[in-house]
Parts: sequence; structure tokens; C-alpha cells
Amino acid sequence: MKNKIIQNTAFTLIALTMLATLFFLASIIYFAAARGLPALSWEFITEVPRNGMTEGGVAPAIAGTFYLTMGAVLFAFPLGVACAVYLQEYSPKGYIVNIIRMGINNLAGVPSVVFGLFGLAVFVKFFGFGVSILSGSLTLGILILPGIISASQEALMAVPLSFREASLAMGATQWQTIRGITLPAALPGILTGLIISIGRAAGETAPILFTAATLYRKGYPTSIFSEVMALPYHIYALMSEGVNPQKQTAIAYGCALILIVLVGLMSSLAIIIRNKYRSVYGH
Amino acid sequence: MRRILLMSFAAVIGLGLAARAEVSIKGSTTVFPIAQKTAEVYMNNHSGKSVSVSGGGSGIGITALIDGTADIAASSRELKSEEAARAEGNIIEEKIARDAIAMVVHPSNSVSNLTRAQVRDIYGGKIKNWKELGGADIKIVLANRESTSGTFEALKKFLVDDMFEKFASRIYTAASSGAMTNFVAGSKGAIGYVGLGFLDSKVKALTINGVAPTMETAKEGGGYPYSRYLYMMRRIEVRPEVMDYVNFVKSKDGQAIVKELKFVPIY
Amino acid sequence: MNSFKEKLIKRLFCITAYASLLFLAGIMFVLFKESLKALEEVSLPAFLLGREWYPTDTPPEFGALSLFAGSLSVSFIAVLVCVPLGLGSALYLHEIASERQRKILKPVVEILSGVPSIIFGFFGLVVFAPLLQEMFDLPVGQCLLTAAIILGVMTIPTITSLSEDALGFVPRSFKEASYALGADRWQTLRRVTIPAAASGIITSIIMGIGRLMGETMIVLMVAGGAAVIPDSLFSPVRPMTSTIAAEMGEAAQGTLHFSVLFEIGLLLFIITFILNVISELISRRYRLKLGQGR
Repeated sequence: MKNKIIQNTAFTLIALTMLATLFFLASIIYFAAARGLPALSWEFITEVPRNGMTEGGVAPAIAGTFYLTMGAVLFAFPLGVACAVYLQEYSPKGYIVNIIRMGINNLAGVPSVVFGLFGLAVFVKFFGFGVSILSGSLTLGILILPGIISASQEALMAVPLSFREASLAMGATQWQTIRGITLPAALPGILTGLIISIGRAAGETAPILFTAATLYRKGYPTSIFSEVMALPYHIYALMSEGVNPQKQTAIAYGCALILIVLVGLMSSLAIIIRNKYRSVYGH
Repeated sequence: MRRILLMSFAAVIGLGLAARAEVSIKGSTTVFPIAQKTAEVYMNNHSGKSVSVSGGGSGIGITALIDGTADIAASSRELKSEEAARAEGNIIEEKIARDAIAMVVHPSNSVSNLTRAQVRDIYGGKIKNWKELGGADIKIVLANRESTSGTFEALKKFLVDDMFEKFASRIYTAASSGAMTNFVAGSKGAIGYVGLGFLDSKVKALTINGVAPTMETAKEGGGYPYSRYLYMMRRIEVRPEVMDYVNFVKSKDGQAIVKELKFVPIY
Repeated sequence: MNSFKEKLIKRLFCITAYASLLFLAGIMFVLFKESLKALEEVSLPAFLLGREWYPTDTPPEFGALSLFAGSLSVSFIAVLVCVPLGLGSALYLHEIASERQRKILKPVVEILSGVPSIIFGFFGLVVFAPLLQEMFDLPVGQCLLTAAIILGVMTIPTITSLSEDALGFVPRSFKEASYALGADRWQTLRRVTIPAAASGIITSIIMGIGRLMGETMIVLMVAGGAAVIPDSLFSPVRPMTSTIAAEMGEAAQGTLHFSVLFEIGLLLFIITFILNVISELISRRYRLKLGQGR
């Protein structure tokens, strides 16, 4: 009887923590939605900022985030998948692989502002790309690389060994097997990782602070060497450099909502793809 | 193979530089609203011209101008001597407006005038209670701006006091001028400082040595002590679109924008 | 011909595998190289133990102890928020939630863990800081406590996901054996499942701390930015990350200030690196213990 009471108390407490968690996080989403929705309109997402960034839309920031994210993915996706293929399919077992694995894990733990410092010193200054889409994309690319590698590796790991053996037994070479059998089978998992990385890259602020972001430009970037506005940085800029708190806080709410929806859609998509394909190999 | 890669890489960079026909402005966050708004209007009047504006502070803007990575440095101060040396006489400081820094307190505060020495002592941590200044017995709560902000640098220059920097890094730092007025409006003992453009009814602006911060007093010789010129600096030889833009800022239309943003027009 | 192509492809893939190591080494090298000037001109004790942070004064002083204290205090209090809530939520998902609840809650937690930190920072600045200021009648809403709570809430989903994974790795047989001995669900959870998953849970907490220490935008927006060693929960503080973000814009390349900011980055990197290595070692031991060594 006493045990029953202890168990009930403990479980109630645990349930309360879950409720508290959901409450905190829901309230953030709620505020962004409730105050962001009035700011949203067709004009808001298609127009350029007007009248000292107190009116108009945030289209250049949306475009900037799009370019930065695409650039990061173009850089990191091939590299990450190739790295995963090597580690999973070719890897000679041993200490080298262990060191690479540790390197990847450590890279994943590096604070985002440190990536920003790296990007500043290497891409902006050393290579002379300046504060630009290119510098920002490469910086973000390195940031999302570990995530893409891990996700791809997991996806490859989930492909049953029998697939590969069947292909090799029919006389296919290792590369033919990877290209024709293993990679296609692992594709959903790899895509899941890719989509999550896109969400991550789109929301990061610190790495682009010194490598890509600008407060204001009219219209859209003209080349990969242009400075860009970006959604997450725009929120920060409006709140710190803003000159008209009332109107600009509303715009910042709008940006926050767009960002949440964007990242939420990406994660949901990833989860849907994963659930759909998870059953295929009996996982 | 490697050579082809390198060549295509160089080609991409070449293309990128060729496409860089825009005017880029870097520098002071104080000048930012002026640069931003004038750029916006300028581009509306001249389709096809592109101007990008980023902050970072006067020092960054001037460095970028000297290094050639920006066309215009927006600055809230003159060139320092070492900057002038690096620029080798190649830079022109164009005055574009004047700006004043107002000391603001909570509306209920009975103190309404401070001398420059008193402001210095408050921000140096020597005066700690409003009653020392003839006000109510309330502790003075100070606020500061980020050391990268133009407003911070302006006040530091006006106070000319070593203690300011030492003391100021230890107090609350408002993220923006808007945050500063919110802070002062919400706290009875608070004192803060903002540019003339940020004064509103939520806070009370103090007179300094008996002179109130207004458009008139902030003019050169107008009597308000905490006021200064704002600059757009450029190289002597510039592309026509850079000159065109700077001239626009100094024109009647440009100065109307300056006034609209509550800075002091000078032309 | 074919075997040559095969070899070439393998070689190419091999190169990409080293890319991560290259970047990691690159980051270390760059941080160190850019810090050299600071390491030479500011003595290490003055940097690590100095309390005076006046980067733009003449002459400047670069004592980073207050910044370090800022990071540490914010992270410590954030841990008090995110560990109980994150772990509790993981236990709920693992042990109490019905299959239907799990199906909904797990993705929800996962999606929330992807919400960008700038959103949390913004929320903290415009909603939570004013609220706290009013509740406690504070002069300033942006302070240690605000930053810590917002940071903590942001990190909950990370800890929940990772801990839930760790709980899931505990073999069913452990639990069944416990039930067979007559233990109830709570006893089994407390005496069997949690201890068996302990190293995984600890790893998740360490990774959470790493994330807290490295988070930038939240502290930049809501911590208050005063370079002092906090003496109360309501002191404004200036953690290392926000110092870098706030001051890098103004520090011109080649100056001592620029270099010192990289030195702070280096310090930050070393801290997170050590945390990573610790969690790596723990999780490796743990895999061996459960017989899943690979």
C-alpha cells in the first residue's frame, strides 16, 4: 500500500515535469503566433522593408536565409554523405576511424559563435571573400556537416547486410553496389538528416553575425559576394539597432513566426519521411 | 585537373567582383537610421542603383573604408590620428548632420537639471543617490549602452573621464536605444542616455547646465554641450554613384530625412 | 580499368572522411593563431583571473574572470531548470505515457528541440524579462535569472530526447527480471532502469551543459551585459559568448581587442572540447557495459 502511494506520487511528479515542459515551450510558440500573425500578410513576405525598416516586408531577409541555407547544403551535403559512405561502407576498422568519429562528435559540440570566429578569420579575411553569402554559407556548412554525417551513417547502417551481399554476389563492384543498392536504400534516412540540417542552418544567428549578415539592403543579393539580410539576424538587428521599437517589434514577431513555421515544417517533414520508411527494413 | 579547378574558382571570384556595382556603407549605429533611410529613398529615385548598409561601429566603418571593403564609412566621430595616418590624406570627412545625446530619467523624478560635472560623477560612480542632487531619497540606477554603440562612444567622449569606462562596464547594458527608454521608463531611480531621436513622452529629458536638448540647442554654438557632428567619410576618388549618393544626403531632400529622423540638419 | 576506378573512388571518399578532422584542426589552429597576440601581450593570469574588462579604454584591460563567471553562473542555474524538467519529461515519455501520447509527444519534443535560439532570445527580451521585472520589482528585467531560465527551457528538449534514447537502450530483460522479483514500476524505474541508463543520462546532461555554455543569442539579448561577477540572481551578467558577439563588430582586425576576443573563443572551445571528450568516454564505457561494444 505504501509502495503504491510512493509510486503514485513519483509518477504524478514526473507527469508534472512533462506538463511544465510543454507549458513553457507552448507559451513561446503561442506568443510568437498570437503576436506574429497580425504582422503577417502577403506584402510582409514579398515586399522589401520601407520607411526606415518600420513598414513593408522582409522579403530580402527571407531570400537571404534561403541563399545561405542552400549554399550551406550544397557544400555540406555531398561532403557529409561521402564521409558517411566511407566510414560505413569502406572503412578499414581501427583507430583511424575512431579518431574520425571523435572528430565528428567534437565538431558537433563546438559552440556556434566559435564557427563564426572561424568563418571570420578564414573565409572573410584569409580567403578574402568578405562579409558575403559565400563566407556565411561555408561557415554554416561546416556547422551542419556533423549532423549530416551522423544521419547518413545511421541510414546506411540500417540497410541490411544481405542487400550488399546479394549485389556483390552478382558480380557488382563495391562502388556499383553503393551507388545502385546501398545509397538508394538509405536515401530516406539521408534526406531526413538533410532536412533537419536545413532547419538548423536557417535558424542559426551567431555564425553569420560576422560572416554574412547586414542590417539593411534594398532588394536582393546580386552575387555570392553580396552581404545579405537574414531572418534570424533581422530579429536581433531590429531589437538592438531599431529606432522605432513599437513598429519594429511587430516586424520582429512576424520574422519569428516565419522562422518557427519554417523550422517546424522542416522537422515535421523529416519526421514524416522517417516514419514512413522506418517500417521498410523492419526497424 | 587542379589547374582547371583553380581557374574556374578565380573566374567565379572575378565575376563576383565585377557584379559588385553597389554602394556599400559601413559604420556607426548612430548614423545607421540616416544611412538606411536616405539609401532607401535614393534607390527609389534611382532604379538600378543599389546601396547596402551595415553597422558595426565607427571604427569598423573607417577601417573598412581604408581597406577598400566599403565605399562609405558612417561615423559619429572624426578620424583618430592613427586612422588619418593610415588613410594618407586620401579620405574626405563629409559632415551630414548633428546629433545630441539626452540624459533621461523617470518622469516622476524631481531633478530636472544637472551640471556636466554632476553627470560625470553619476557615471563615474561617485554620486549614488538622487538626494545628493536635491531629489528624493532613491538610489540611482544607471544604464549603459554596448561599447560598440555610437551613443556610448559619444557620451564617453563628452564625459572625458577615465572613471566612466571603468564604471560603465559594470552596469546594466541596454541592447538598444529603445530598450534604454523602456528601462528608464520602468524604474524610478533610473538614468540613461539616448540620442535626440529617441526621446519620447515615457521619459523625462534633463537640461544640462540649464540647456535643454532640442533641435535648436544642438546646432553648432547652440549651447547644448552633448552634441556633435555626424559624418559620411569617403575616398577622394570615388565611383560616380558613391558621390551621387553622398550629394543626395547633403541635398535638401536628404536633409529633410535627417530632420524627420530627429537629427539636426546642417545644410 | 575498373579496379583503378574503384580505387580512385575509394580514395576520394577517404579524403572527404578527413574533412571533419581538417575543420576541427582548422578551428583549433585559427583560434590559437588569432589569439597569439593576446597571449603574448596579456599575461595568462591577468586574462584568466582579472576582473577588469575595459576593452575600449586607454589603456585597455582584459580580465575575463567576470565573463567566465557570467557563463558559469548562467549555465549552472540553467542546468537546475533543464535537468529536472528534461529528465522528468524523458521518464514520462518512457514509462508513463500511453502509446498514443508517445506518438504525439515524441515528435513534438523533437520539433521543439529544433526551434532556433534567436526565437527564445526574442521571447525572453520582449515577454519574459518585462514579466520578471514586474514580478520582482526589479530595476532591470535582463539579468542572470532571466537568461538562465530561458536557456534552461531551450535545452529541455535536447536533454529529454537524449535521455529518452538512453532509457530506451536498457534491455527489456532487466525490467522483466525486476518485475518478476515483485518490484512495482516505480521501484523498477528507480532501482533498475535509471541506474542502467545512468551513463547515457549523464552524457545527455554533459552535452546539454556544452550547449548552454556555447549559446550566444539568448545571453546576448537577455543577460544584461554587465561585466561583473554576479552577486545576486538579478545581477546583469556578460557571458563569454555574448562578449564575443557584441564586441567583434567593433574590434578592428589586428588590434589587441580582436585577438583577445579570439582568446575567449579559444577558452570556450577548450571547455566544450573537454566536455565532449568526457561524454565520449562515458558513453563508450556504457556501451561496453551493456555489451554493445563496437
